Amino acid sequence: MLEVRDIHTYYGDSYILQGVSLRVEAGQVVALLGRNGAGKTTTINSIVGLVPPRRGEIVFKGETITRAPPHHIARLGMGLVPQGRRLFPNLTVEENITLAARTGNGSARWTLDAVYALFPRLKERAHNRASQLSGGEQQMVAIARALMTNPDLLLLDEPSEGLAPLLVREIGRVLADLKAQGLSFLLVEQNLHMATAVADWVYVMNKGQIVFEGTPQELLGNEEIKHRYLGV
Amino acid sequence: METLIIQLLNGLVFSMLLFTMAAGLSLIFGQMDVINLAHGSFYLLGGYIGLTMVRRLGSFWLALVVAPLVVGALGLALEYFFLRRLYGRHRHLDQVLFTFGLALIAADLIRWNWGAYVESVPPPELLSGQIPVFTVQFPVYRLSLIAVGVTLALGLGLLLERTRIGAIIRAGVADAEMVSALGIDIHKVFAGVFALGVALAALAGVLGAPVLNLYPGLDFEILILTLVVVVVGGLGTLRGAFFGSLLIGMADTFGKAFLPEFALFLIFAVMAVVLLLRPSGLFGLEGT
Ligand SMILES: Nc1ncnc2c1ncn2[C@@H]1O[C@H](COP(=O)(O)OP(=O)(O)OP(=O)(O)O)[C@@H](O)[C@H]1O
Ligand SMILES: [Mg+2]
Repeated sequence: MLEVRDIHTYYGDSYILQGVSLRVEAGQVVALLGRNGAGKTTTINSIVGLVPPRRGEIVFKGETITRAPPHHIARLGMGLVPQGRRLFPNLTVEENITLAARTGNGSARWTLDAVYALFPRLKERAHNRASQLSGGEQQMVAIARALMTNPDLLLLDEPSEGLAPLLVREIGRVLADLKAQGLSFLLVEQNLHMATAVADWVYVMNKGQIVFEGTPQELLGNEEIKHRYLGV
Repeated sequence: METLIIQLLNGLVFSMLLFTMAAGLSLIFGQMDVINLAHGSFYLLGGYIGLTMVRRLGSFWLALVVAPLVVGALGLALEYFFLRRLYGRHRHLDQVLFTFGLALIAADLIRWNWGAYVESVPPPELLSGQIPVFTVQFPVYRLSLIAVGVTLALGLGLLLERTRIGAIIRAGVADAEMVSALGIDIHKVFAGVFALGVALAALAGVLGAPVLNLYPGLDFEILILTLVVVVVGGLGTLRGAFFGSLLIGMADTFGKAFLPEFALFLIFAVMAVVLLLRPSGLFGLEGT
């Protein structure tokens, strides 16, 4: 589904990603973990084309997308739930959700009714401005907005960030649901528990490099990696 | 009393012309983060193209349609070949230099083609003459400009608030990068907004010609007032453009009528007061 091969990404002169490789197979949930500033968001931004890598290659569904424009990459079937949600604050919930709605490449599944069924709370808030929502509701809108593009691969950047434990569990449930429905995704997290609960494969990143990969069980059993790179 | 009513009406007329300009300038800024210093040039170019069409073909109505289309197409070409290369967070200086250079070139080309005279354009036959308003006689054409301005404000408001393309434009004002990451070609949106904005400027040029005449230098006069309107109203908001236009249009008209030596001063005084009370303008988002 997605293969990232040895990418090197810069912000101006700062050399951030120093040879990152990872892959996500169809139907798989892959987690990317790491501390603040490890380069997780930069990896996501490189994949979706917002900060193209200078070297290396990214292949999505057989097509090289390394320096393709973001809208082209999204249209191939990549859905982004960015860090900090990045909702459009002056638009209503429903406008946010339907803004980029499209039927995708496979059999179109996600409709407004379907995402409202997934997040009943959003239906009540449909005509509120996004800026009036709570953090948890904003995260739901961000996920709903991405689902409405009917992606084949969902990229989620710290969906649990800043949420109360109860909401984190709710988001976790939704992710498990999506996985059960066969959606593939790359999940960036700092919440080890939430990520290992849903992931099939885990990468740990530090200072712009992948320092560990394995199954969630392997990571959970590896005290040294957890201690050194995740601060647990 | 009678002069007061007349000046009030004149103020409304001028405000609506300013609004037609400011709406485009503000949309372009809000969407693309580009301050279009050639906006007055598109006004004047639209006016002169209208003048030529009225002279050659004798139809003001045709001018009203064709001039915005021609100038809008020119805007598309300029966006595609030049402006597109200058997008980005740290390129404001490049953009300002480009649009200002464009304004200087346009001024010379206009003078070269149409000469340096003051040209007047008669209003269309259908709207000539005067009708009574309250206790005064007022030109029908000018009254209809007020109606056009209000209609335009409502139309643009509906476009922005009630359509999907409007939602995309508003989303782009907030976070253009995120819009593109959702699969929407934001550069196409930019191009469309730029073309629409400059077409509105050209429309204002044709509409305004029977009232303000056409002459070299009008481009910069209009540009400065429009910039003041957009700053006073709040960058990037349609409502701000509308109420900012009313405020500045009135201040300019009343200043010129009653305190001619201080007219320009009055405008900048109004701007200073508004900015002191609300640093981001009447309807601007605080903290931006
Ligand atoms: N726009 C930018 N310009 C310059 N440097 C940046 C920029 N964005 C991030 N960085 C730097 O790149 C490095 C990686 O940042 P990144 O945002 O990818 O980390 P992260 O793993 O997502 O962290 P977090 O968990 O805090 O979101 C950091 O050192 C950060 O300071
Ligand atoms: Mg991050």
